[in-house]
Amino acid sequence: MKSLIPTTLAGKVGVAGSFICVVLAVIGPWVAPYDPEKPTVDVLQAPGFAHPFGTDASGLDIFSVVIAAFRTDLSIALLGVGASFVLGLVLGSISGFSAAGGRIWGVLARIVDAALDVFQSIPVTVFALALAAIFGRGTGAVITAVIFVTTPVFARLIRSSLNSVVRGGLVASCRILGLGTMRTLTRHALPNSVDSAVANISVSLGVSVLLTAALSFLGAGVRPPTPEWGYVISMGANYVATGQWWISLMPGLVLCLSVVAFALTGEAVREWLAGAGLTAAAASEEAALSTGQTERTP
Amino acid sequence: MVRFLLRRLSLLPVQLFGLLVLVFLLTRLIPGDPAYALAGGQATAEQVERIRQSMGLDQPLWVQFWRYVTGVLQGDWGTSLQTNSPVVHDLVQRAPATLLLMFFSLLMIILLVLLLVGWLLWRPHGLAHKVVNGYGFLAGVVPDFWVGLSLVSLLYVQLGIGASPSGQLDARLTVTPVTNVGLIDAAIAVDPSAVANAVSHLVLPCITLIFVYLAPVVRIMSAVTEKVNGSDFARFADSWGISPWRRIRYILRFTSPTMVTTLASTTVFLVGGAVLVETVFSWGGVGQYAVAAVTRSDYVGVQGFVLIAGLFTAMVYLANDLLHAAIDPQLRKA
Repeated sequence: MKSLIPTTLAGKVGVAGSFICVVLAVIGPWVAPYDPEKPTVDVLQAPGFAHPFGTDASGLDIFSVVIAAFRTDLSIALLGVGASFVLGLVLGSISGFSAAGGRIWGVLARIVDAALDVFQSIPVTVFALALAAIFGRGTGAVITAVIFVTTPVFARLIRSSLNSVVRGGLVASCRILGLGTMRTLTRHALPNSVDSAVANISVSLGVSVLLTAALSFLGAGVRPPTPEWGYVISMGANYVATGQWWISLMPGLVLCLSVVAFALTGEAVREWLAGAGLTAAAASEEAALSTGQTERTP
Repeated sequence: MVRFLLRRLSLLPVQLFGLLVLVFLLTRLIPGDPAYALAGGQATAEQVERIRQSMGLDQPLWVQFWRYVTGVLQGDWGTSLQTNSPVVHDLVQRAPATLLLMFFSLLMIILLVLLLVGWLLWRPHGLAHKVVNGYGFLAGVVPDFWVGLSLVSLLYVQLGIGASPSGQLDARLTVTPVTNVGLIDAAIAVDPSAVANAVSHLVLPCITLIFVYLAPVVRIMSAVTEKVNGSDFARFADSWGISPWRRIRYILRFTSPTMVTTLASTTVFLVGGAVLVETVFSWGGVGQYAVAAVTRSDYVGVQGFVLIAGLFTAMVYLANDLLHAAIDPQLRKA
């Protein structure tokens, strides 16, 4: 078993940052110095000792809102990306494993491919806006938008690794051993193909946080007074031109830092998987060289 | 070439049909009674009934779709709830402003990506590599609207560069609206100070779009050129002792199909970027219109925006494929 601690400095920073994000998502609302939904008497105060990130026009302590918002943004991200991963696994399997299946499977794969192409060619923001318009603003619409935006990436990653696994001869060898299509897929092909998708989870969490903030910024996302980064940024947008920069810029900075942490963690996971010799390319080579070994993988 | 053209063009009706189905379903998927939602919050029972009648919501779905499609083709995209005027009129009025923003940003993106990739080919291992990688990473983690606000705070408020984020011209300037694009109207009125003002309003939103949307182009192009740089044909060119200039030119020519595709998808994604950036800078284009439509439950307006964005996307990808055929002879023969 390879050590779970990343070897590079960037990886260490990323994993530590992601860990802090998760901790704040759990305890955030309790450790915030002020109530994130109740205004204080200090109005439009610049960052200082009493209010590290300043206060907004109604007197809300920005720091408290930002800390409490970790829970909102991260739970949307985890729910959305979790669902996307599962959905991507299913769609990617349909599309990438069609060579091993029958005629109906082939037709399904065509449909999935076409749908993935369509969804990837629509601008993300336009699509998410349309969704918010139909289903009304709120957490549900945001999660739906996250699922629609992040699923195609997972599906594509699974599809391309499955393709290389199939080409590597794994399916043929499983056939010879007398295994059915579904068993070959779920027990042998998929475990050898999920690595790149797993490394993408962390990146997608970052994408999800950016999308959630963008939608709330546009007034199409989370409903106030739920603490959310993009919403705070939109509240402060009108004050930036008059010099009260902290309302918008401080939450954005925290948002950026957490996205950086997720991106670096994704990189670290990729490296870890590559080091453990489990990349898609390696897996397909493995399958081509010794089918006995892939037979044993859980 | 003719066969390629015919095959590609025959794809267009299919795409447009798919788009129309999608956009049509948009208003039919509204939970509850679409007639109520489309009539707006304060509508009376008669108004709701009139909408139900005029849109044929009491008819079978395929009749409704037929009505919608014939309406769209005749230029009837419905009436916007927020402006009370035809959606087509609203969109035509606002589209030029958005296109201007996108055009200037795209122009600068093309120039900058050529410069950066050229620099990378000139000195592959030095500072260029670090700058390109660092920038590519940074631009991927920042939200575009936040970049816009930061630029306003840093450049406009602190350093006095650019103009306030309040539209395309200062409110004190009065220019007869011809195209509804501040810059072009000022030019038509032959008013140099208004032109200068319009340009200063264009600076910050364009920098925002360029900063965020140049990054993916640079990332892809640097990866592709790096590969070509180490390829046999580049080494062969080296052994002939050709000038570095010519070498860069050859490699750029070789990678131009990738460049065209990357720029095409960037153009499409700039539409999404425009939605956010227009909101930050009160630009008054179709993006801001769409956002206002969403927040005011103006479904017909949203529908119109998605349709126009979809049409634009289809046109950009068509242009992309035609350009590909022009660049790559292999594609023409296939």
